[in-house]
Amino acid sequence: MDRFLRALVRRRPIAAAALGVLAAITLAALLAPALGLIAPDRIDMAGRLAPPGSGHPLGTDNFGRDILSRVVYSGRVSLLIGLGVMAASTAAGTLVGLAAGYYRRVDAVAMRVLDGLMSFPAILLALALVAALGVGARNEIIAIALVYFPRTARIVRGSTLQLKQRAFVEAAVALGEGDGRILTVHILRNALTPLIVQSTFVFAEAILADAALSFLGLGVRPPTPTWGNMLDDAHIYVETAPWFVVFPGVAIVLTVLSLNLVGDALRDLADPYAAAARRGLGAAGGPAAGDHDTRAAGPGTRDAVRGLPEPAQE
Amino acid sequence: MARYAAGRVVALVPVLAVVGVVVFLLIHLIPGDPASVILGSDASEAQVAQLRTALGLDRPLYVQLVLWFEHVLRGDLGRSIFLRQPVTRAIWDHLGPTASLTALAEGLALAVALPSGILAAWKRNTRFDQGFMMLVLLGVSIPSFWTGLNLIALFAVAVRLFPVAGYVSPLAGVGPWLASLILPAVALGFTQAGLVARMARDATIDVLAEDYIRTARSKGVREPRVLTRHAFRNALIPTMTVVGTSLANLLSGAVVVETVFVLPGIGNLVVQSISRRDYPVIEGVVLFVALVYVVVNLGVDLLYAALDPRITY
Amino acid sequence: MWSASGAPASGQAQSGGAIRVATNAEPTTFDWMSSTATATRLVAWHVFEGLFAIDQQYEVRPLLAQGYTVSDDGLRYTIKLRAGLKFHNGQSVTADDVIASLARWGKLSSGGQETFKYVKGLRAVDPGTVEITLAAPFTPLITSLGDPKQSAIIVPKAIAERAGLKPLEELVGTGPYIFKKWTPGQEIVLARNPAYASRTENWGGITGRKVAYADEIHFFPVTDPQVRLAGVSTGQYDLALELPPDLYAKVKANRRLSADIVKVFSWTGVVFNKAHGPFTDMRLRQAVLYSMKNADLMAAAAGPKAFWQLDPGLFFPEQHDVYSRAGADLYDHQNLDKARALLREAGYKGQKIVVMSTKDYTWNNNTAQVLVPEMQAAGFTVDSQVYDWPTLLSRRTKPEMFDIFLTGFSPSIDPTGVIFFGKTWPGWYKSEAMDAALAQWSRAPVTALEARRKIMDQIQTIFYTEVPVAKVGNQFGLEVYNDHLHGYTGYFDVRFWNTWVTH
Repeated sequence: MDRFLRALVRRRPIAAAALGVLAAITLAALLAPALGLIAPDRIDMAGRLAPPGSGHPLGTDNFGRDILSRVVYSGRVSLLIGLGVMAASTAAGTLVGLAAGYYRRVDAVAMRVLDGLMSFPAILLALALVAALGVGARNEIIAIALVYFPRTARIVRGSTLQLKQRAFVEAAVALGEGDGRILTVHILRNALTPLIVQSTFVFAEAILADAALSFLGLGVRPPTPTWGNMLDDAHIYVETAPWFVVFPGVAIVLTVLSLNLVGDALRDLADPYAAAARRGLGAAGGPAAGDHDTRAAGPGTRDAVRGLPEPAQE
Repeated sequence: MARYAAGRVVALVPVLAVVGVVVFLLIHLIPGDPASVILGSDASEAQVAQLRTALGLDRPLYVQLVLWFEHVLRGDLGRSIFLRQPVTRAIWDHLGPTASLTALAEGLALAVALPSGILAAWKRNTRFDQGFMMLVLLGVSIPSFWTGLNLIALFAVAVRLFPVAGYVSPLAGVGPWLASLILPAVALGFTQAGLVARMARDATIDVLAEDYIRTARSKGVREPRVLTRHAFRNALIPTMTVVGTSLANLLSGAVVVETVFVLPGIGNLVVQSISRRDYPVIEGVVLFVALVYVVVNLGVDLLYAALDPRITY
Repeated sequence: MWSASGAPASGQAQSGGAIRVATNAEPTTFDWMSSTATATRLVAWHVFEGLFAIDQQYEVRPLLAQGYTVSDDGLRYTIKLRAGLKFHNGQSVTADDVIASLARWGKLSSGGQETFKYVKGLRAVDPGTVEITLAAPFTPLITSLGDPKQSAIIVPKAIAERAGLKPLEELVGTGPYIFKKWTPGQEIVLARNPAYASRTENWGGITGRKVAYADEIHFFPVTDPQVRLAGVSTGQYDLALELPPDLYAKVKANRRLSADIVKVFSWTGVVFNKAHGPFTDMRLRQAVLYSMKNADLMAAAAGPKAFWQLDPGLFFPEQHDVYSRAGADLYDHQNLDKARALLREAGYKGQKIVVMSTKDYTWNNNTAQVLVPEMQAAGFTVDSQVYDWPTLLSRRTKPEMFDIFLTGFSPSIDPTGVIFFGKTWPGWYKSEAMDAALAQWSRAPVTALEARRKIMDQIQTIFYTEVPVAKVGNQFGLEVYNDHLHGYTGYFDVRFWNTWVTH
């Protein structure tokens, strides 16, 4: 870990800074109650829609609530949801991906269902799911995780397919090792890197998806602040209180951008060949791309490209 | 090739079936029902029940599902409870704004993304390239609806160049029509441009490393010609895949952007239908969207296969 | 405040053209008898008329009726129709049509149901005269026939019978405009009725002289208020209604726009579930009343002070006949100590109170967001649930699903027509004291002003003691129109007769 951090700072200083930003945001979210901020739901009708100034560094909203405080507290919800989605979709995607990659018959069925799920643009599916399941953090996590796990599954499946044919796996099979052990010890361990990279990007997408859903009124509801629902409230005040629109958005961008930068750097550091390729000597890549070495796959290049998780916002 | 195409089309069917069932089940889990909305807040339970029966909402779920499938296969997506018109009609009516927005957004995105992507590939690892990558990253990190809100604040409020929101039909004048679409198109285009540009750059880098480029250069072909004649065309193929995905995304209704700018497109139709519990419309639109997505992807795959002689089936 | 007449105000009235109106919501039906929705009413009352209707001062006057007489014992009302009245389909309006329409109204409308409790018989004396016989005196009868909520509109007998209890689909009335077409989600079009037989009096409101100047009226549902306002500024629409008060500053800055602040518009109320749950206990309802700071709640709902008013009345100050200030000592008297004491007395043990609101009407959820912390300060444990309008409508019919919901009440004209006094309306108010007071009101002769004032005070006192609904305050409406529109006068919903356009 220590070596990794040093490598990061040395070779990808911007990403290292991004990691710092993420750490700061996380800390702020965790320690929010101890930061001496004005209570985020303290209503002050007399001081509604006040511009940034003394007492309210980022201004107040349409209920007179302090925007700085609400932006910080929003972090708790949004990061929680992002984390939940990341955990859920990674777990589900790994399970399905391993099974599909290893067992032919599972693959046939699983790919159909995954293809079906991936036929929906992210937001639409998330919308419908949240509308059906009901509003609330837990349902939101389920909905967004359902939307994004197919992509993780595909990546794990791809790795599994490749690794399945490698010598050490054949050896393990010959030695009579159980499927479970092969999958977890041999295959998964070697597929870990792309999985981790993908998880970072899923986290980023989840934050964007949460923002969009909240903006449409289908996320966590006020008075609990989330960046998305703050923007929803701010919508009609674009003219009269522009600060209300600016700050929650900046928070989203900072978080997502940092996550993308870190994910990029992770991938580059973990796979030097792909990194070199990205820097000008070969294959396609970029944030949120699949982990495949695209040259190896031929028509699979398209698959790799289509493995791109599209952004939840359109 | 034809066999490949036919095979792909056949493979669509189970996928669409899965899509259909998922959608249908989803919608019917939502609480609340259309009958009470139509009759208004002070209708009695008896009246609501009466209307519910009249609309067929009280039959068992599996019966409704089978009936729905039957109709869909005949091309009948049912009738909107709220709009009192066939769902296909409702979709058609709302297609205009979404189609215009899609075309404009994608056009803007391509106009910016392709040249800059190629340029960045050519000037890779220079400051230009690094700045380019940063912009691309920003593009996919900024929620398009926030971009939209900022654009409104800047170009519709501070400087009254464009309308704050709303859609003007092209029949009322091409100028006003375009004016109502520019800001949302830019908001959407910014994100799409990021995706396309990145792919264009990466594909171009790939291509520029190929032997035939080296040959061309050693033959003395000037760099600009190398770029346009050789690199661009070959880089286009993988780039096209992303464009295909991007188009499908846009066409399916940039839901949130349509909400911000109040454009009566498909995305808006879905959001409103969800709040009105207009089941037939929700099912119909989501099915339609999935269909578009699947067809566009198929189209791109086939095009890819047709254009790249290295790929055989 | 309001001009007493509906006559064209300034400039020469001209015929022709089309009035274009941007509304905030799509109606689900145009049947003014079955729906209480304002989206329905503002279109429907151009097309349909009743025997009686309210004037500019909210007092009931004849419309389709010529006049009426009451027997001495108050049990027999004889209503004569005006001569020469015709429906939009050319048929003459006869007593049979009236009877069929009223019978439907008696089953469908809350006010009608209340009235028909007293009605023993309806018969046609002759084609132009109807007789209503009562089992017991019910002095609000004529008022009830003129109530703008779920109105007793007169439609052809065959149509009334075909529709039964379902909303009307055949829209044939007697009004100055004829229903022409509806493209759902896009526009509603009304066309002038060339055969309209107008009254001649300048009573204003919904009755009196109505001249259809414009050839057509177009209603466009535009849900986003900024787009509505923008449309009026550019001339795409002539009038936009239901604008949030926060946009008022923008309107004032534009010299070509006129703003209409409608004062008799709506009042926000906190409705308690009195059939099930903690609020079956009156003391807890009173506790909520004591925890409310109405000024904050109204500011959350309606923004600037020019757009709301704190007033204890069940009716609006402009409604002289029925306005009362009884209960002013309990209304808007926040007292957290008293609230807490009541909670203790009632043995409240921290049960979760479910408060339902909707974001589909911004003022609704905004009020909830301020109400919840106020209730919490008094010691309630609150679960604030936000639903979209259809889900809220569905849930509020089920007593196990909520304890409180928020809503707005548009003006009523008679205590017997107050919707939440009804026993089957969500909230399920059952009170012998209120029943007795309302029965007294029903018996009091219309001319006994002093006696009626006392009964009204009594009704309102019970309202503040039993608190079936906690009133928050009066919310004003904002309508904006541009210089194309002339002769327009405001009312609690928009009306476009006696109005003309220049384009």
